[in-house]
Amino acid sequence: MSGLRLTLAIVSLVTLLHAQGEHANPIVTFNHDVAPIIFRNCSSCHRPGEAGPFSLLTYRDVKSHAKQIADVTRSHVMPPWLPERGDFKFADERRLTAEEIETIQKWVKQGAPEGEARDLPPAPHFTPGWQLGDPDLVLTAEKPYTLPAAGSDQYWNFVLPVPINATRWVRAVEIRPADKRLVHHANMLVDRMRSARHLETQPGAGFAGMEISLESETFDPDSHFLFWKPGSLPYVEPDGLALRLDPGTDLVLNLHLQPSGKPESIQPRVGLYFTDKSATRFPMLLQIQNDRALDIPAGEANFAVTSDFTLPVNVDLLAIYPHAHYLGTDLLATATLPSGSQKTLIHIPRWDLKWQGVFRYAEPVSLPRGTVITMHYVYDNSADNMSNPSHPPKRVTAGNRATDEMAHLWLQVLPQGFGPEDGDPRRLLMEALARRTLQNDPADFEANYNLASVLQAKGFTRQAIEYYETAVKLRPDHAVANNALGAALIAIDRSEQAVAPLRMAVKNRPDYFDAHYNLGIALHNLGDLNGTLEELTAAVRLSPGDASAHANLGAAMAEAGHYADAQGELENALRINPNLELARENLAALKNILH
Amino acid sequence: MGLMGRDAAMRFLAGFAFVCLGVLNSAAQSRVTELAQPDPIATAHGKPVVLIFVRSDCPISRKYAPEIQQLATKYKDRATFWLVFPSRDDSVDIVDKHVREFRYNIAALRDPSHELVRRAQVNITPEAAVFDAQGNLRYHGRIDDLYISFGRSRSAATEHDLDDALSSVVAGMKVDRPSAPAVGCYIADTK
Repeated sequence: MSGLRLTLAIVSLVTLLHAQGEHANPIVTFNHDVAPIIFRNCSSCHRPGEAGPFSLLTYRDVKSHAKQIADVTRSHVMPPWLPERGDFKFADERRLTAEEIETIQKWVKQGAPEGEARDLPPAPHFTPGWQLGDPDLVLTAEKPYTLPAAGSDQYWNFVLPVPINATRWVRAVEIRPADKRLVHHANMLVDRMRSARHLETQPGAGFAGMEISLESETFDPDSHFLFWKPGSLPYVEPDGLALRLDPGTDLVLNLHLQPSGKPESIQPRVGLYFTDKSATRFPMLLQIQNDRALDIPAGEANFAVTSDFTLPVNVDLLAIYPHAHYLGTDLLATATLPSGSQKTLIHIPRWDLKWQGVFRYAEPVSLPRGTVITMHYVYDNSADNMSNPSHPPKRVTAGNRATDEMAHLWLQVLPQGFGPEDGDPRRLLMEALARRTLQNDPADFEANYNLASVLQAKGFTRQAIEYYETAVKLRPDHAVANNALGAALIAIDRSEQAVAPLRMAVKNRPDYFDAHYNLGIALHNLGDLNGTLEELTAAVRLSPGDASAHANLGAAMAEAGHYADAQGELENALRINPNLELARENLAALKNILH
Repeated sequence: MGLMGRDAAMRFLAGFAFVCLGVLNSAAQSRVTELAQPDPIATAHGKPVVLIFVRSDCPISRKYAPEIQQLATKYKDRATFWLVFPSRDDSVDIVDKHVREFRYNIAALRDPSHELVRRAQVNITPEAAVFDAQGNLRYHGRIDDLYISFGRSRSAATEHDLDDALSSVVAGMKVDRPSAPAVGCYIADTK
C-alpha cells in the first residue's frame, strides 16, 4: 500500500483563486462560456483518432488541461493557424477572437468551474471514419515505414500505384496519413510518368524525403493541391474541376513526421472519390521562387528575399501555399492590381514550418491580367532564432535539406479565357513564369526546360533548342532533357547533332521508350540501318502496343532486306492501329516485292 | 522506305521540394515494472534518487521517453530512477501500458495525491527532481532546454540540466544550477 501522505495544499490554493475570481468578475463557466469555444475550435482535432494529443470533448477533458489551454491560446500556439487576417478570408479559418481568449483566461483564473448542466451546448458531432463516406477506391501504402522514437523530424515518401484501367475523374481525396498525432502535414503529387518509383530501393518500400521532380507525358502542369494538415477536411472539387487520373499513374505521398517517443509504424491510406463529370476547367499550380537570392550570412537576423510575377492572363486565385524551412520568420505575399491597389494575399508574421499548409480562399480571388504578385520573405539566421538547425549558425543557401533554405510561393490559379482564339492560357502562364524565373536565375533547370517545351509547342523549335541545350548543360545526365533536345534537333533536320543527346538519354535510362524510338529515327536519317534496327527493336520491346514503333521497325527491316520479318511488323502495326496509312502503303509495296 | 515522323516527345517538369533530416535513435528493451508504491526517497539505499514526473497524454512528456531512458541507463549503477505519474487519470492500467509502449526500463509510481510533486517542488510534466542519498532535494526542473515554450522547440538541446546536476550529485559536488523552469503540461491541471 501507499506510504504517501495526503496533502490538501494545492486544493485549497485553487479554491482560494476561485473565490477571488468570483469577486473580481462575473462567473465564467465551462458549460455556458467555454464549451462553445472549445467545441467549435478545438474538438475536431482533440478527439480520439485525430491529431490532438488528448481529447477535449467534455468538462473533465478540458479541466484536466485548463491551465495549459489558457497558456497556449494566449500565446496563439493553439489553435494552430499561421496567417494573419488579410484582405481575403480563407476557408476553414481556425482562429480565436480576443474575447474568446479572454473568456478562457477568466475561466481558468476562476478555478475552471463547470456551471449549470442546462447551459451545456450539445456535444459536437463528428463523422466517424472516412469523412465523405466509403471512398470509391482506397490506396494503402504497401510497406509501413518505421518512425524512430526520437530525433529530429523525418520526411518519408510513399509511392501509391493507382489500380484503374480507364481514366477516372477525382472529385475528392481523403488522405489518412496514419496516426495523425505523428504527422505535421502530408503532401501528395500525381506522378503521371511513374518517375518517383525509381527512387525506391525495392517496389513499395518508399524513400526518404528529397526534392522530387516529376515528369509529365504531355503539357499537363500540376493542377491541384492534394494536402493534409491537422484538422483539415477533405475538399470536394466543384463540378468541372475534377482531377484526371489515367491508368498507369502513381500518387506520391510525402509525410512530415515527428517522433513521438516510441517507434511508430506508419502506413498511410488514401481514399479517392470519383465523379462522372470530367474536367471542363483547368487550374494550374504556379511556383514563384527566388532560391538563388538565398545566401544568408551566418548571424544575419533579418535577411529578405523577394520576387514577383506579372500575370499574363486573368486568373481566379483558389489557394496559396507559402514555403520556407526553419529560418523563415515572416512570409508575405501581395497582389498589386493594375489599378494600383495592393492586396495582401497571405501574411504569416511568425512562420513555423511545422504548421505549414495550403490555404484555400473562402471565395476565389479574381486577379486581372497585369496584376503583380509579390513575395517578400524574411529569414533569421542568428543564434537567437531557436529553430536554427545549425549551432553555431552557418552560411545558408537554397537546397532541400533541413539545414538549407527555400523561398517558394505556390499558387493554385484557374486561368480564364480558354478558347479557340486564345489557345490554352496555361501555356502563357508557363512561359511567363519560366521567363521570370530565368531572370532570377538563368541556371534554373526546370525553367529552361519548361520554356523550351512551350516554345517548341508554339513552333519556335530553334529557340526551344537553345533552352534545351542550356537545360542539358545544367544536368548532362538528365534523360528527359536529352531526349527532348534530340527530338527537337530531329525536327529541324539536325539528326547528326541529335544522336549524342539521345544516346545519353538511352544510356541513363535504358527503359526509356521515347529515347530509343527517337534515336532510331535519327540513325535512320543518317543512313545507319543497323543502328536503326537495334533502337527500334528496343523500342518495340519496351512498348509492344505502340503501332508506330512496329510500323517503323517493319519499314527499316524491309530496307535491310528482312522482308518476312518486315511483313510481320507491319501487320502488327496495322493490327494495333488499322488507320496507319503509311504502314498500309509500305505493306502493299512489300507484298509487291515479295511476289 | 521512309519512316513515319513522330512529334517530339515533350516533357514538362514540376516538383515540390522536400527536406530530409537525419535519423537517430535506438529503442531500449522494455520491462514491465510493478506498480508498488514505496517511498522512493526514503528507500534510496545510499544512492541519489531521480524522480521524473510524466503524464501519459502530455505530448512533450511522451517525446522525452527515449531521453529519460537514456539518462537512466547512463546512471544505472549510480542513481535510482523513478517515473512518477501525478495525474489521477493515469490509472494503474494506463501507466502499465505507457511504460511498456515507450519501452521504459524504469520503475513507475502513481502520485495522484501529489505528495511527491510537493516534495520535489515540480509543477510540469516532464520535470525532474534529484535527491541526494540523504534525501535532500538538489535539483528540480527541466531535463534539458529543447523546448523554449509549449509549441516552440530548438532543433537540438544546448543545455543538459538534469545530466549536469546528476553528474555533480553522484560526484558529491555542488549543483551549479539547482533549478530551471520546465516546459510541458501543468501538474496543477491534474487536480
